[in-house]
Amino acid sequence: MIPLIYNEWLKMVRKKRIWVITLILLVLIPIFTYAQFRTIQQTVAEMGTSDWRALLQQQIIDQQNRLSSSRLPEEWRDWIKLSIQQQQYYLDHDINPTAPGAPTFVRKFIEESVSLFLPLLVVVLAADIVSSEHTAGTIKSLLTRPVQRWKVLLSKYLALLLSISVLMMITAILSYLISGVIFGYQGWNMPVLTGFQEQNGQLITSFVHLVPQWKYILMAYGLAWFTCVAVGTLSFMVSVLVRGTAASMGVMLAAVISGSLLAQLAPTWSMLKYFAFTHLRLTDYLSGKPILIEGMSLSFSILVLSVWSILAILIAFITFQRRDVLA
Amino acid sequence: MKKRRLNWTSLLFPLSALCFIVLSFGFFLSTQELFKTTDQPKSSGNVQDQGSKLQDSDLFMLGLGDSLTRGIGDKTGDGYFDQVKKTLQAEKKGTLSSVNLAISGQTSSELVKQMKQEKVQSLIKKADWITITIGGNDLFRGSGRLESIDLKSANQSKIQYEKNLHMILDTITSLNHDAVVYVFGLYNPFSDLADEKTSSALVAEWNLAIQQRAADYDRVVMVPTFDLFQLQPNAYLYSDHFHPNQAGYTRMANRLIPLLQDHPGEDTSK
Repeated sequence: MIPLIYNEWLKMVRKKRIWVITLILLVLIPIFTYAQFRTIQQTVAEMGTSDWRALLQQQIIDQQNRLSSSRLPEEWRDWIKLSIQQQQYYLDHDINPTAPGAPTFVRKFIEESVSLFLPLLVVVLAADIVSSEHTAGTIKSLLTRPVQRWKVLLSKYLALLLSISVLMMITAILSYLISGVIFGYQGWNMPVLTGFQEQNGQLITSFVHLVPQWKYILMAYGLAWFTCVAVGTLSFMVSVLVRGTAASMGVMLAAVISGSLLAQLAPTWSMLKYFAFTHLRLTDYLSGKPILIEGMSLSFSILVLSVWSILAILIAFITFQRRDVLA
Repeated sequence: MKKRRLNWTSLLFPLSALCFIVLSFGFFLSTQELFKTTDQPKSSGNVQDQGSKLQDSDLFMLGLGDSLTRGIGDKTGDGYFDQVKKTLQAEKKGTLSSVNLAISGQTSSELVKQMKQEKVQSLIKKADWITITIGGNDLFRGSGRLESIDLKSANQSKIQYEKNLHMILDTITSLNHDAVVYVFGLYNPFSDLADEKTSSALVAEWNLAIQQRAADYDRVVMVPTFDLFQLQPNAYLYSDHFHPNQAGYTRMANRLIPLLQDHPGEDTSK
């Protein structure tokens, strides 16, 4: 089995698509870095002073004063205490929270790119994995080998999963290396808030706690990876069903983009939550960003993505097994 | 298809497997993290406990006054009031509840107004202990900040303050003559500054006024604080050089706790 996977994996590398994607990242990440850098400069300009230590001290004192307000619910109080702790850490360790180093950029980058950018790259990677064999006519020589069809398909799928993992890793490493030029390479141990929850439209902060940034990044990339694997699985199915490379890529791009559009346009339409592409932003559960569609939680999102993926795999395998290869 | 590849591609293959493992581990970790938080009802249990105590508790402590009772300057946000509450709750196994009605920046005239509210009065009726810090804002605002002491206006505000204090204590004792009222004296936050003599003399005058007012009632106790901040103001004052810091509040709390235990309210009289 492993030689088969290795063979398929070699094909993907040989097709140079993953290197094209690396090139895209190499061009885009400096642009994102520069944009982030400009935003930071803007914030500094708005605050009027460049002495962030003074500002931070002021923020801490402001929050301490807020703590003593009587109208404050207890869980908010805990949250504020945590954010004071976080700011105190910045102050103690001489970290400027508005320009905090490459790991922060890595974290922000994955949080922003998980909804559209990375899925699109995954689609580019996956959409023609089977259909290109039809287009190139190599499918016949592949299937005439003394290996069962489902094994061929499975090795293709596993090779795809490996490439997706590599893609994620490249994204992380490149965004770290490139953004570090401007932001500096420190900040792995910076504490990050996590553990937010939503209940009946209210943000529950009683479980909020601090984790070191490296752990947060590991978790965020893990979640993003799961998203990308789900997108990759769906594209995989499409590439089995549709024979043309262009057509399968088009279908998947439309699906991914419409998923993120629909979540923005019609968040009240509750049927949306059964649609796989509205669940791509898994990292939002870590960072505590408000979830647009009601009734979504991490377990639900993972469930939806898994169900879609499993269905996609089943459809892909059954179709591939039964298909007449004439082309 | 089975052509020989360069060495580095075959090296990349196990590397990609490694990426796969690392990322799936990250995913596993995050589900762990996020589901763990849903499972255990962590610290929030405490809060609910306090809520239920409020209904069927034996002793009830009420805080009135200004930022000192509010706890401004204490980095935990507790202040002497919550420190006392926590200490007593630990000792009495949670038979104590409390409400803190203090408003930061409140002057004695504003407290008189606040005490006219129905809800405030009903809480005063329920209270076994009432702790008050009031006067700091009257004194230090009335005299136009102590850096430039205006004795005349300070005296005027003192007369008003005495009147207000009288009203406050009258209202409390008429609403609830069983409660013990603890009025904190004033301290001089500027005792290490140039005008120390004048400011300390002024604070002493006001403290005397509080003492005299308190003497009119059986169950009103004045708790001095002047001495606590006299010699080492910087060690016990917050960075605003006006409010106590956590250590300062602890000193105030330590002074109050034995006094509270002298009069443990009605229900647990020993």
